[in-house]
Amino acid sequence: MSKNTASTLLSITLLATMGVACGGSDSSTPDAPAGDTLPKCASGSNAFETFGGSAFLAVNTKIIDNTLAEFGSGGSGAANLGSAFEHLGDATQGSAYADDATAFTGKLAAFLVFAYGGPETTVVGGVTYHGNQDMVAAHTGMHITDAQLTYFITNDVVPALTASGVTSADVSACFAPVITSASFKASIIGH
Amino acid sequence: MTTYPRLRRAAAWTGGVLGVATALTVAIHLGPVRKLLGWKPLGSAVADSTGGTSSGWCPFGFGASADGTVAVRPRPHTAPDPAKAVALGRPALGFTLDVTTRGEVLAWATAHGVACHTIQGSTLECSNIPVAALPTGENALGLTTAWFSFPFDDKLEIVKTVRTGPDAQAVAAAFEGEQSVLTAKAGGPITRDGAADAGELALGELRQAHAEFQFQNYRATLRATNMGKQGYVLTEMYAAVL
Repeated sequence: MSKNTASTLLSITLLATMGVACGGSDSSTPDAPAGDTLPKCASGSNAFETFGGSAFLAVNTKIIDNTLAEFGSGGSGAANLGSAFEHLGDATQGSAYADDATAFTGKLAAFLVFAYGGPETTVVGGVTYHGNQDMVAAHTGMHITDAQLTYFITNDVVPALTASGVTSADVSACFAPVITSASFKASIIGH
Repeated sequence: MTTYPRLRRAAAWTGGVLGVATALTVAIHLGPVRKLLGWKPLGSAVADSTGGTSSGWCPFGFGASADGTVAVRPRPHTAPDPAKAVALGRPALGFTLDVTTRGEVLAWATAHGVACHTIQGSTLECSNIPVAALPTGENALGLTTAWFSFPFDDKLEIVKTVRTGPDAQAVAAAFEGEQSVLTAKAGGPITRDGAADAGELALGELRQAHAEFQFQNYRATLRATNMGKQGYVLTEMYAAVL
């Protein structure tokens, strides 16, 4: 093989390698949920595809209802939720508290829809909310603990799902992996 | 026409003083100003002797006492629900609802080397409570975290817990144990969902067994949950019903 041929082959190989390395997938939306990689329900589809937007809004309402019920008659029954809801609507306590109850409800719905395979925006009460949210920023200043998050998931979220007709099998298969993941937990706790 | 210059001047001064006082009163209750003054935010679970809620440091009659404790508010009285039975007893981790005081819980914590701190006004959040500190025979699991709430009269009203177990068997057994105790001491559950069987709980993440107890004077909730890689947990809630 002549030097010129070898050199040409080497150049082509290097260019091809660079093309493969730099081609890849579009990283312009790194936080977009990969629908195909989301866990599947018994239906064979992801949670949003299986249950639809209305069901997600209904579950969201139940989560809010369950959370409000934690407050009980004494007003301090929700201490197990830490400071997550103590300063709702009071931006002076930190940007994470800027949203009032209505905005919080809308954002929670949008997050759930987006996280489980739905569109990036969700309309609640005529207002459009974005689901691709910075969970760390949304919880910074609240100092939520592992136990507080655990109590919230087990007593407010799971009952909302089962009361809305989601089977235990589907709770495990297509809902649990998102909210029990280490990355989700890390985005909520300790900030 | 007769004019009353002195009266007009007095009225003007009075109006001016009242207006300034009103403006100041409004201003000191605004969020940023309260923060500057170091007052608690509105809506904090702090009571006052007249039954209202306050920041705890408002100068007009509400707030902390000289020893730093928060003033308590009287318990509101509600009619019992005749559709529900009266609980035979009201178990709450060995404490007595409507009787045990915050000071007594703190004394118990100190005696057992349990770390507690105050959150949201008067609630105590206690961590890593060993089995030896709890009523014997009910549960082999210690408490990861417990919350003790005292919204009225400084008396214990609500207890909530999270217990982390080493495996499904341990948490399932703890759930059944607590359910048996509640049934014996208070009465049977009105709702029972899921199977507190180790095999069932282990079938998947967030698999859950649930028992709900509701009486005229008492509520209790038990949940055993598979938390996936985080293990298995038992959560409890014991509350006095007003």
